[in-house]
Amino acid sequence: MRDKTRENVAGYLFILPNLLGFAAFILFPMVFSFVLIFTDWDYLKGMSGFSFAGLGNIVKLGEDPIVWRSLLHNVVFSLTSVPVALGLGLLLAVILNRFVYLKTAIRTMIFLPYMSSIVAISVVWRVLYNPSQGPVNSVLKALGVDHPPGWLSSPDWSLAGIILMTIWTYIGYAMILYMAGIQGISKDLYEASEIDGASGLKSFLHITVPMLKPTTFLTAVTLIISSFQVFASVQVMTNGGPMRSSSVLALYIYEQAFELRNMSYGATVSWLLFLFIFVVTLVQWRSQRSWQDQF
Amino acid sequence: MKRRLTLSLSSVLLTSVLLSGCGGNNGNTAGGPDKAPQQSAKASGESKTVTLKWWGGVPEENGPKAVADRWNAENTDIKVEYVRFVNDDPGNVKLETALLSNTDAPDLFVNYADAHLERRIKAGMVEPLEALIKSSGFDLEGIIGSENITKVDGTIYNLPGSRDVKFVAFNKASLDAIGESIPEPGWTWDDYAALAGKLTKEGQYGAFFTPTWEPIAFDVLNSAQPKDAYYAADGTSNFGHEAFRKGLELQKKLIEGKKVMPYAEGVANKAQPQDELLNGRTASTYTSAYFVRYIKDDTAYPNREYQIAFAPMPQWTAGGNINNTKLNDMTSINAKSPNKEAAMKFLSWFLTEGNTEMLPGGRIPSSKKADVAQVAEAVMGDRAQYFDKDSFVKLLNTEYTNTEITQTAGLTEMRKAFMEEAEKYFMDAQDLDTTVETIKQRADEAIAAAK
Repeated sequence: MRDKTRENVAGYLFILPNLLGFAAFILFPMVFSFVLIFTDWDYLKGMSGFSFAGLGNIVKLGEDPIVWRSLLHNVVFSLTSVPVALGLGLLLAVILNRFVYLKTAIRTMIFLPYMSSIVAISVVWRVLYNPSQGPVNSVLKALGVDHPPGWLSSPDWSLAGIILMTIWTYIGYAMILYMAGIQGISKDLYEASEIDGASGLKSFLHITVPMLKPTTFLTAVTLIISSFQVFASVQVMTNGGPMRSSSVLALYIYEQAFELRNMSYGATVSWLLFLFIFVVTLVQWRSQRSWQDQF
Repeated sequence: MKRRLTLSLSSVLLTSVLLSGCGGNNGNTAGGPDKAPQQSAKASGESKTVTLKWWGGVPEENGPKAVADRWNAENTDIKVEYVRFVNDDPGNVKLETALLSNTDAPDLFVNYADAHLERRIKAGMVEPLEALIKSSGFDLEGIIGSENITKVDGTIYNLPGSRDVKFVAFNKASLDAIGESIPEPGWTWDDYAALAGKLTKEGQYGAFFTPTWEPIAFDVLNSAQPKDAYYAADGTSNFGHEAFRKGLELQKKLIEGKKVMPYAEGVANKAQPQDELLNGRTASTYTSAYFVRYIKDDTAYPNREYQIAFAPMPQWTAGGNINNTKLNDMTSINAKSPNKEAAMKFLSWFLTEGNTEMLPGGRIPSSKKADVAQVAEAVMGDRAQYFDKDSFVKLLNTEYTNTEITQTAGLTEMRKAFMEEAEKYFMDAQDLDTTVETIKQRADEAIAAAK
């Protein structure tokens, strides 16, 4: 019994550093931001700046059209960037697995954007997207497009411009995971199907794709979560504009908290974002369970 | 799957250990300065050495370092240490967080916006300065003049370190090419728009508006009502004013006539006046004193074969002399500082003579006693070849009526409403009447909410 206690103490001591860090940097801020929802906090007055606000922030949230518009942008952003990145990533992974020339070099090149600083990338893409002098529109004009889009300066194209860039960074991530996944598929399956006379396309559709389901699931979950949190690229490239056409929730939270100093309202919006990601992830877990039943 | 789980778990563990390691370190460094003030307080009891922390937004190498060095060489009992914060939203939050803390807090800090100053005063962070001015013997009337200071509820909470001037900077060669002379003080906004039209040619716009600033309507409004431009006499917002409407129209016409860069392009590319004017892409720009720093920079803007000429701000009524600036770099003393007398002593010296060290960085001293010719020489320094000296001296020599701000209710929200709605107007998403109405309505709401 005494040994058991000693062991327990030792165990707790081992996790103590982690636990302290977790409490100070994650648990406390989370609880604090939740409390903020029901208050009106003037942070300049420190801890004496609290006043109880009831459900005022939540009511305001419901009536704030910009919140819902930003959320819609978030949804569009995730629903386009993630599937496209997954599809292209899978395609590249399969191609790179088959055709081995310069595999490492090409793989590195495609993965590079994912490793680079998103701020640096965004600055470069902002220059590329320059409507009058940028290379993107120069190429489009050379190809015979008379009125190329205004990209970041156009309310109709700004979000699309950011999504395109995001896809470009996500592809490398999806590709690497898929390549690892493909190497885990037993060669026996392919050999057996070849004997049965399956074509390359058929074995791709009926062996590679189903066997990669766990990889797809993992990649989709992580990419969706990170795409919902998109902030830096939007802030650098358009700051949500023009006319809020590329505003997303994370940017709106920042705007409320640090430009208008509504810490409490910012916290309320951030809990909305959390709830949304939470529900989406929950749905994904559920659906994953039904996938696994097939195996 | 299991292996991946173990892997990810252990990496989570590793990360958190690393994180908490950092946390521990933070604790240590936070403990460091915690002890330091006590030590220095103790030391001040014995050897009387005080270290003042002076927070400002100017990069250290553009003047503050020279100021601190000169002070520290002349004074042994009070040391000054400059801390730079970037004057943007996160930077101001950083300053305020530092002011909130009891350790390592700034003794002196610079406010760059009235809304910021007011917010800090309300939070009790700013020391009223009347008593300190008296006890330090600072010659307020002789050097700055109390009428030039922004007061809040009749109390002085800041002393301005520099004088800002708004002006129109021209590419002199472009003016010469169309046979126009530099506009004289007292020229109007109509003259301005007409000249912008004349200056426009293939590859060069006639004028430039900085997209991150308020649209020019703000300055037009200011030139019509220099005192509390955002507020009407009845306490509501002033966006119904004729000058405001006219300013919006002026900018829209220049955009539509392609006399300035398309609005959206400026915003998307974060276009800067220095890049446009000093690379010859625009013939003029509306800007302010900080701009001279770039005129002098021939590393970033080499091969210039033209001078920059200066004209004061255009006027609402011809012959007027209103400048949309006020004394700037509003320096305050932290209400919690243990070294207020020492801080005031430094501030008094800074305002009397120390701020001349900021001249090469383009900051004109707030002192009434500053000699304009000398100031001009010091600002231009060894790069005088890029300046049209006559118009520069003339610009500095003009006696302006400065803008005055005594009300700040809802200022941040009003500015935001103004910029958002004007953007819709400039991008053809909303007509002028709706724009003016919406701004007025949002601004009135903001004022009501703040009261």
